[in-house]
Amino acid sequence: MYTCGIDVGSVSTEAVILSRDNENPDAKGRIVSYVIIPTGASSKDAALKAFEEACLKASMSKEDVSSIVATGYGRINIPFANKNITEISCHARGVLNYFTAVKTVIDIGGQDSKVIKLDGSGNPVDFLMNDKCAAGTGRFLEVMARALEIKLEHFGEIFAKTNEKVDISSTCTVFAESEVVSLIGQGIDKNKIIRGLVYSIVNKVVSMVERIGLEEPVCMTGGVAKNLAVVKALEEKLGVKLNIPEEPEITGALGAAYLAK
Amino acid sequence: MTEPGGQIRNISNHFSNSFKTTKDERFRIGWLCTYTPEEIILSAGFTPTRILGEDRVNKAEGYFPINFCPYLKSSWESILNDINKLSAIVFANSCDGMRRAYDICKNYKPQTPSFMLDVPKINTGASLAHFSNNLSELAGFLEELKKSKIEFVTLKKSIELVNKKRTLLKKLNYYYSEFDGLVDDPDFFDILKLSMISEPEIFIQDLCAYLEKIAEESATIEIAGAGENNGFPPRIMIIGNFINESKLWESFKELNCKIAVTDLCNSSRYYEGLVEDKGNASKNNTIENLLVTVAARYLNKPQCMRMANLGIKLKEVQENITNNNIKGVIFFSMKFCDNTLLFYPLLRQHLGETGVQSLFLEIEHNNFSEGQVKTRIQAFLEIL
Amino acid sequence: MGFAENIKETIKIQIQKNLNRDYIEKILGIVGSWPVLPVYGMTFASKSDKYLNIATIKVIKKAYCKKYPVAYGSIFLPYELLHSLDLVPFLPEVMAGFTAGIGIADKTLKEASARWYTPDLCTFHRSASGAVELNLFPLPQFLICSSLACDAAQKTFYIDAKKYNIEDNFYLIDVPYKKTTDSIKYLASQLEDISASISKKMGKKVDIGKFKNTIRLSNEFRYWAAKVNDIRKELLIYPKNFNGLSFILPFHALAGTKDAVVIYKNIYFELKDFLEIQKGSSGNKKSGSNIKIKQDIGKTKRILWLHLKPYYKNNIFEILESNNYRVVFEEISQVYWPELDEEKPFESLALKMLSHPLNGSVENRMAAILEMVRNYRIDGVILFSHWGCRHSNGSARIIKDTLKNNNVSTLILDGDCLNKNNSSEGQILTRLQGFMEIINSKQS
Repeated sequence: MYTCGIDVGSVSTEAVILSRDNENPDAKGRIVSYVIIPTGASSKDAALKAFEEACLKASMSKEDVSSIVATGYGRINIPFANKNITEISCHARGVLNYFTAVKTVIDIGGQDSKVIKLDGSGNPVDFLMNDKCAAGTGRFLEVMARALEIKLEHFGEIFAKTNEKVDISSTCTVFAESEVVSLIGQGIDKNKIIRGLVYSIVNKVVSMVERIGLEEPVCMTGGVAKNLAVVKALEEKLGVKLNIPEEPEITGALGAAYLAK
Repeated sequence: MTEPGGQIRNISNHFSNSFKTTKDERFRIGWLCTYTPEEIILSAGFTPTRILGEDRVNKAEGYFPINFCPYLKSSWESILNDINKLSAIVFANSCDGMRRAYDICKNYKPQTPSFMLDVPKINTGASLAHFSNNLSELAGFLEELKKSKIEFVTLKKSIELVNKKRTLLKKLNYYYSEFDGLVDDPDFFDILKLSMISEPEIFIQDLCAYLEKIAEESATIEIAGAGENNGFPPRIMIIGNFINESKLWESFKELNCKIAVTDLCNSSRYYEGLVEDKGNASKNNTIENLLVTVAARYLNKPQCMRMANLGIKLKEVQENITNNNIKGVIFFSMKFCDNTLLFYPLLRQHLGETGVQSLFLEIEHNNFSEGQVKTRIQAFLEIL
Repeated sequence: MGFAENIKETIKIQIQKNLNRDYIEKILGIVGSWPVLPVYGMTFASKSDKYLNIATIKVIKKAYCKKYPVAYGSIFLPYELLHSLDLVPFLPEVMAGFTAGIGIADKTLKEASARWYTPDLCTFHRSASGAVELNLFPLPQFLICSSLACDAAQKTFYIDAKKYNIEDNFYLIDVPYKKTTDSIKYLASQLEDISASISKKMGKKVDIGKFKNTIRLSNEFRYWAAKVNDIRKELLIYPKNFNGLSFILPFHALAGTKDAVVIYKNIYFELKDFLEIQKGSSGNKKSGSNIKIKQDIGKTKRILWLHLKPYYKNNIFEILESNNYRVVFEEISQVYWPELDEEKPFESLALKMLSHPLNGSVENRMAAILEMVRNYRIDGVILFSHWGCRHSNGSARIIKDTLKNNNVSTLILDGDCLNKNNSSEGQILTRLQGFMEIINSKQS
C-alpha cells in the first residue's frame, strides 16, 4: 500500500510517498517519491500542490494513496488529510527509517528548532521547542549570510579555514545583524565572524539540548543539517557524532507517511 | 477595553442573572490575590469582584518595567480605565509585583482608596495571630469606607455564603473532571471566572440550578474513571498561576485533553478549603474569633507557590497525582512570575523521580499563541 | 598591572580552569593563610580596600574549610544572630557577584538554564543557583532567608536545601509589611524560635553573653559606619577604585564581628585624611601618587546611586569621573537601623529588619532617598535597573516622578549586574552621556 506524509512548515512544505508492506506496515518502507516546495502564502494550497507533485513524480494518481497524515505548523487546515499529528511524533518516527535506536533528535528548521528525546524504539518521551525566537534557527544564518554577502553553502569550507572566531554577544538576531555589520566595518576578518556566528546558533541549540538531557545516538534533521559548519560545531560542543539522514529536510514528512495507517 | 467577564459565552443562558450583577456598579471592592478574604468584604456590605486583567496593556506600560507581571500590568490598565467604578481595591502582600502594584495604585489613582493586606509566608501559630490582626485592620478599613460597623451575625452569614459557593464550585469540578464531555473546558473556566466577579447569592442560585441539570445528564454518562484509563484519554493535571485564556480552554476541548485536576490561582486555589466552624457557638461570639477561623482557612488552603515551604506544595501535588491517577502534568506560567517559575525545577525533578511526564508552557498573557501552544499540548498527549 | 592585580588575574584563570569546590577551597587555603594574606593585604594602597579584601577572604575561607558550621544567608538577615550561634555566614547572592568578577558567570548561568531556572530571573539568584548545581559552593548545615527584600531567594534557597537534603534546616523569616509594635513582636518571636531551633540542632544552648557581645560589636560597627557616611557628605576625592558598592559583604554579613569594626574604623580614618586634603588643610606626607585632586572640585556633580552595579569589568564609574561626576553615596550604604539594645536582642534585630527602606511600601524607600538627596546635596540620581529585579525596578516610575517634583533628575540605567551579554556597553555610555548633558545644562 501507499501512504503519504505532508509536512507544512512556515517556510517550506514537503511531501513523501511511501510504499509499505500490506502485511507488515511497521516494516521499513520504500520512499517512492518526495517533493520540497516553498509554502508561500497559503499552507492549504501548498499542501495540495506538494501532494499532487509527489503523486506525479511517483507516476500514480491521488486515489492510489490509501492514507495521508499532515504535520507541521499548517497541519490543521488540510481537509484532504486523514489525520494530523505533530512534528514531534513525526520526526521521531522519521529518523527510525535511517537509524535504529536513536535517543535524541535535533531538528533545526528554517524558522524553528526542536530537540526530541526518544525511547530507542522511535517513540518520543520528551521534547523542547523554540518557535519564538529566530536565533537558533535557519533564519539566523540566512540573515547573517546576507549581511556578509557570502552564500550559506560556503559556510562549511570557511569554517574549516580558521580556528579563530570573534564572539557575537547579541542574543537577538536583529541586533546580531547590526553587530556583524559593525564588525565588517571595523575590518574584522569575515572568516572569524562566520565562525562566531556558527557558534552562536550552536550555543542556542546546545542550551536546549542540555535542558532535555543528551543521550546517544543523536540524529540531526532539518534543512540546517546540510550546513557542514553547523554540524561540525555542534558535534564539537556536544562531544558526539551526529547521524544525519540523506535528505534531512523530509524527515517530518517521512515520519508522517509512516504514521499514516 | 473589555467588560469584566466579557468573554463568557456558552453558559450565559444558565447564568444570565449572575451576569447581570456584574454590571452593577455600586459598592464593589476589587481584589487580585486569592488570599483576600471575600467574606470580610461581603460582611462590610460590598460585593467583592476580582480584577481579571483582561485589558490589553496600553497606558499601563509606562508605569511598570517591561519584565513585570503581565497580570498586574493588565489589571492596572483596567484600574486606570475605571472598570467597575470600584469603591476601593484590596491588594495583598503576596509577591514583589503586588507590592509595587499597590504603590503605583496608591500614587497614581489616589481617588480610589486602596488597602494592602499583609499575608504571612509561613503557617504557624504566630503567623495565624498576626494574619488575624491584619484581617481586623482590613475590616476597619471597610467599615470606615461604608461608614457602618460589621456585625457578628453579618460576618457569620457571609462566611456561610462564601463556604456554600466554594462547596458548589467543588461539586462543579467533580462533574467536570470525572465525566467526559459533561462540562466543556471553556464552560468550566467561564463559570469559575463568573464566580469571582458576580454577586454571590445570585451566583449560588444560578450554579445550583446548573448543577441540577448537570446531575441529571451525568446519569447517562460513563465515568471517565479515576480507577482506570482503558479507552479514555490520559488524565492530565494542570498547575500554574493566573491562567485566564479562553483560547487555551478551547484548545483543550479540541484536543480532547482530559483535565482531571486543576491547581491554578483561578481554580482550586480559589475555592478549595472551607472556613471551619469551631463549634461551641456561645464561646465564639466575637468577631475576633471569627476572623481567626477565616485567617486559618486562607493559610491552610492549597498553597500558592509564594508560600515558604515548597515541600508542602510538592506533597500537595503528589497527593493530587496519586489520588486522581494522573498520567501527565502541564505546568503553565505567565512570564516573570518568579514564585511560580522557580517551582518548576523542583517539580520537574520530583516528577522525573516518580516517572510522571511534565510539559512546561510559558504563555503570554492576553497574547495567546494558539498554534504554538496547541502543538506542544498535542505532542505531549501523543507521547503519553 | 600591579603585583596584586597579577595575583588576582592568575587566581581567576586557575579557578576558571579548575571549576570545583575542592580547588576553590585549596586556593582559599593558600591565599587566606599566614603570611600570604597579610602580604596580599599590603599590596593595597588603600586601607579601605586592604581590610575589605582581607576580611572577605577570611570569611569565605572559613566557609569552605569544612571546620565550621556554615549557614547560607540571604542578604538582609540580622547576621548578628548567626555570629552569636558561631555559624559562618555564606551569602550566595554576594558570591554570585564574585562569579562575575572571576569570569565564571557564563558557566553558572548556563548551568542554571540547563536546570530549568527561568532566564527572566535576576542573575544574582540565577548565577548562585547555577553555582550550587555545579557544586561550587561550600556545603551548608543551615539555610536562612527572609522575605526582605525579594521573592527569589526564598525559592532558590529551598531548592538548594532540597539538593543538599537538609529541607528541615531551611528557615524563612517572614518579615511583616509594616513596622508596628505587633509586627516587631511577631518578627522577634520568629528570630527567637529560629535561634532556639538552630541551637538545639547544633547541640548547644543559646549563649546570652555571646549574643550581647555580638550586639555590642554590631553597635560599634554601626557607629563607625555612620561616621563614614557623615564624612561622605562632604567628601569628593576618594582613594583610587573606592566604590561604596563593594562593601556589601562586611556591611551585612559581618555585622556583629570585630572585623566589621576594624574595616569601618579604617575606612573612616582613611576618608578623614582625604577630606583634610580636599579641604587643603593637610600637611600629610601620605598624600601620595594615587591621590588626584580635581582642580575644579567646586564644580563636581554629586550623584546618588540606587541599587547595585555591574560586577564584571566595566567603565561606568570612569566615565562619570572623567566628566567630573562623582557617586557620593549609595542607598546600600545607609545606616538605616537604630542602635541595638543588648537587653532586648531579638526585638532590636527585628526592629533592624523592619527599618530597612526596602521593606513594605515604596514610601519607605522614597523617604530614605529624599533624605539622602538632601544630606548629600545630590545633583542627579542613577537607578541601576538590573534585569529581573522586580521589587526595585517596579518602583522606578515613582522614584523618578517624585525626584522630578523635587527638581532632581533621575537616570534609569538598564543593564545586568552579572551577565555582560545582557548589557550593552554602547547603550550605557549613550545614556550616561545624555544624562550628564541634561544635568550640565540644568546647572548653567
